[in-house]
Amino acid sequence: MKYRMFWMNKFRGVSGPSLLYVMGLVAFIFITSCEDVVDIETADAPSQLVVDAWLTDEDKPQTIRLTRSQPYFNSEFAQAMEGATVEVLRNNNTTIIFADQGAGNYTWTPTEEERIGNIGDRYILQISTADIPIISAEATMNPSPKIDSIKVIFRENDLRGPDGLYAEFFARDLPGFGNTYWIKAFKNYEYLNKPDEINLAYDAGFDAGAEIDNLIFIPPIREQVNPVPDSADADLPPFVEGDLLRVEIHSLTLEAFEFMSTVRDEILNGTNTIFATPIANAQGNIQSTSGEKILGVFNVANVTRLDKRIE
Amino acid sequence: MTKVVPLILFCLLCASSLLGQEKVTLSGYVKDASNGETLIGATVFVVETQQGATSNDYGYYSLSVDPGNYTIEFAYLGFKSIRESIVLDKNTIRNIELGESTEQLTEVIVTGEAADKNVTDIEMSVSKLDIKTIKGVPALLGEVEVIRSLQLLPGVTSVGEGASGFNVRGGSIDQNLVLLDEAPVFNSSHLFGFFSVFNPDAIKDVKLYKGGIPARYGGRISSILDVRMKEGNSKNLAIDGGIGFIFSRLSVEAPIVKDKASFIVAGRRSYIDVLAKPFLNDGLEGSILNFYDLTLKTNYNINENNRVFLSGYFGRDNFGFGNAAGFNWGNSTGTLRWNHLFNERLFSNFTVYFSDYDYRINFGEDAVNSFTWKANIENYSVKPEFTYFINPKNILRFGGQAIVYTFTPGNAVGVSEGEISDVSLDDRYAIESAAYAEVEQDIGDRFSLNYGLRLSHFNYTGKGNAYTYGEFTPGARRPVIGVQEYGQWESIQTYLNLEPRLSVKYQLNDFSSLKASYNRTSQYIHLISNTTASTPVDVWTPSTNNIKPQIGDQVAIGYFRNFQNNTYEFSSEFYYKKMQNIVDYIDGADLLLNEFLEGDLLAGEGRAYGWELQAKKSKGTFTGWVSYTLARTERQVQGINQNNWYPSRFDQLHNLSINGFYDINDRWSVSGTFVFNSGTPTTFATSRYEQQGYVVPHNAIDTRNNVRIPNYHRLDIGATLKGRKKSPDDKWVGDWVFSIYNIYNRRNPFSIYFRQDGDRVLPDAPTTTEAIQLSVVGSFIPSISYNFKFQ
Repeated sequence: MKYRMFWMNKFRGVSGPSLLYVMGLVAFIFITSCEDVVDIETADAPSQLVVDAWLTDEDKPQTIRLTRSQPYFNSEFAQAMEGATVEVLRNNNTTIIFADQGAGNYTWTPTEEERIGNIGDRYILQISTADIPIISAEATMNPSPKIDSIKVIFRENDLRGPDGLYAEFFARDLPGFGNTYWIKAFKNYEYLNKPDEINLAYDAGFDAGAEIDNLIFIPPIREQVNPVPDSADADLPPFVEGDLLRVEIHSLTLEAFEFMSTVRDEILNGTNTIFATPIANAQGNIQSTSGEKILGVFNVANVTRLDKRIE
Repeated sequence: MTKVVPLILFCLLCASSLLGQEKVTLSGYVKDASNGETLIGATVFVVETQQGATSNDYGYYSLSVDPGNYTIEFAYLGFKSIRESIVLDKNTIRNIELGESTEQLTEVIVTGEAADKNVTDIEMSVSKLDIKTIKGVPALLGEVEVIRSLQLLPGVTSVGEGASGFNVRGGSIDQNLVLLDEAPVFNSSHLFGFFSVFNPDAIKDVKLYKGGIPARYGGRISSILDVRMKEGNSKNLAIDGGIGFIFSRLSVEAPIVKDKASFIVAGRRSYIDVLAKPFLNDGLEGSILNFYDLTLKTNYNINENNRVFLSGYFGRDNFGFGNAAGFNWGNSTGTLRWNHLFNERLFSNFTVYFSDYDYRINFGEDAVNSFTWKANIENYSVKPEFTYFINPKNILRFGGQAIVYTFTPGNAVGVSEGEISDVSLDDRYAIESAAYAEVEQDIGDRFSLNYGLRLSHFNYTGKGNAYTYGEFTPGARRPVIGVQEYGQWESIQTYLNLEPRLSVKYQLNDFSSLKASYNRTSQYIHLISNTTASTPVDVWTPSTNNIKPQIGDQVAIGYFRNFQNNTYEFSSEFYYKKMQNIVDYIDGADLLLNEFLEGDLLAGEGRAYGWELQAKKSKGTFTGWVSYTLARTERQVQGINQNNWYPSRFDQLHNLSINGFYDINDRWSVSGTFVFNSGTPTTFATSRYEQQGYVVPHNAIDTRNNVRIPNYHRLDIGATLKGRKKSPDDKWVGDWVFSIYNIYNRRNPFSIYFRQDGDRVLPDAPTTTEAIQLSVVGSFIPSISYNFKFQ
């Protein structure tokens, strides 16, 4: 079990601060720890091609994005990579062509008859750019469990958050060890996109080390569908009556799971303060024949979904 | 232990050939007249022959001379020396009690021994801190601190404020063997790293071996911190206590049978949670945040030849948040020792101890959804030790040790909607044993040697599964390719190491000497931790069929010189240390509750080298020391930093501390400490890229610890107002201690980390990324505490 998982998820459950943060807060009542934004120069590094290819079997346009990496403190949108050929080969017999829409977006829209495929199908992503002739990646579509229900309860003000309505979804991990999922939550159709809202599951728990197979997802995962408030809105409850909560389970390949858990750990590493780990690069699954390192991941997800009107 | 017996016989055989025939022996204990505490390292000097002996860890000395009339001087710094004429025509026992000097000698002494001991003693790379000195250092929140004080000495560093443990000569924190009355303490910190588990009221002596480690010590590769507890006042009742901002202390010591048996009980408890209560709301009501410890010891003098000691420590840190979560951790140790004199020259000590470190975590408000997790390391040991005082020029020490370990890396049970899943890992077992022999020998007037050999053995045993793993590929965990089941105490893997130790001293003249040492050390248990500061949940693991023991080799040379009749002491030491099989981790390693942990571990090499300088004034009304270390510590691990050497996270090029203590008059004394440390290295991301709308930090050049955070410096001051006895019969004396920590209010960085802005990113706006400097202590911290003594 990773530290972050321990320090944060184990306790956080809902939108409350991390266990560490709370311990630190109390411990440092007399010792004022503080954080300052500082200007830092980072080492020069080459810009790399980034493939952002997370496809789903949903009935909506599927997009693969090609961009380039940029200096860390360059807080702008990533530079788009246009003019590439992007194709996905399904089970070695069907080719799906993604059309260049500009701005680095390559899109394919499924039709009534033709979704991207079925559980167990094997996909090969093939990209060709002016500089790099062959870029490829493989993924298999794994299954996601059905979401049985979403429960909403009123909870009184405690460490995890203020008085208000909190949600929890119920689903059972599919049988067999090593199923991995990304649980995504949407409040009023807006995706909850904060790094500490990333909710990943390995079987019914956090990671491979603890083998908990075919159980109902453990409480911290079930409860991580509540939005984390912005700093200015810390007193606001996650939901009020009339809100709509959508929960989706996206199946992942093991590679995609490892990638996203590293991404989350790295983005949030600083919040571990004195218990931060050395920075690690997330390992993607995109290869190039020219040997050039390509960043990013190709995954094809089976998606299950449940909507709940909060009342 | 079968290997121990022939070794001992061999040693005795060697020793007997060194024996003179008609010598007589003067022996006994040296004690403090005021409280009956034995004095460690007091000198017993024969004026006529210019020969001497030093009292050992139990205050025992033994000197063999030709029969005759002698003048013997008993001395201990800060105490009045005693000179006695003794007719030595037969073996003689002389127990001596030294009284504290009435002269205004020094309130603060860095060493409590003979004034020139640093030059004349064979030991090098040893830091001794007298408890009086530790008490003089201006302390954070006024709390006297053993481990933070050690960090003011050359060669001892820490990764940052609030980090637990300490780093010695470039070694990691688990490479220090921390002994409390011989029992190892696996986590020496309270409140993460702000306070150590050692209660200063119960501590007699603190000694840190950074190098030249004698053969009688083993088990860790960087250092030995040997903390000895007081025995308890054997003359009369004494009560010490203190009231501070963070915690209060109370200790009681008294004779049980005067001069025969005594005890000490010392306790501390923090009350942050009590004081913080008014500030705790928004769900923090009912929070528990405290730590406490209890230290106790008792001893009984059975007769001249037999003395027993029983000591123990129990401490705990507690965090709790209503019913929602609880977290606590702590050490407990128990030591039973029996000193036995076979004869005047053969001193022995038999120790039996147990030590345990454990933590417990629980989450969940009800039985339907909960998570509980316990882990611990427990060990039992027997340790016979013999000291044979052959003659004033030769001392032979030999002995052995056997330790039985039980590791419980995690007993964890999760309940999800009433369905129970037990994700506990199997316990692991191991037996560590060692035998050693060591000779301290003077050759002529100028040369002294301490040479020895330690043979250590480790047996990693069942019951449990032993896994074999596939080949390592950079960036990936090694896959399990085989598993074999073993029965209870069935050997899975054994290791045997021969550890030679050598120290040499050459006395240049009365006031200067050259010393050199070499030691090889091996370490069979490892703390699994990849965070900047170690956390209380880090787990110890044994060497296994996949984790090899760490091996350390260190050479050191030093020049020691005193000036002006030992008023000023100066030392300069160079060291070079090589470490094999140090433990490192793959990126994204999963270290807790992972059955296949070994697949996430990497083994590498380490090297550390440096130059340590110390100048010290230990006499007069103004005392203090300056220490400076120029050092480097590096690692090389396959799969990290493109396989190149990189600096350790706690590497500091410069480390300076200046410490001054001044007695203004009988009542007021002031002190100051300034420290300067080079910034420690860390790894920064070079780039960012987007994935599913998230901004991913990325190190495109794949380096480790390639940039430095800013330098650390801090000035602390303190003042003590000593209490006055209103009448000679007054039994109560109270001192006020004032201190200001970080007086010029510097925000010293602990680390710099990168983050994206915490608020929700709108779909049309790019994500802002920034660098944040974390300061654990962000302002100056004043404090007042009151200490009292009733005697």
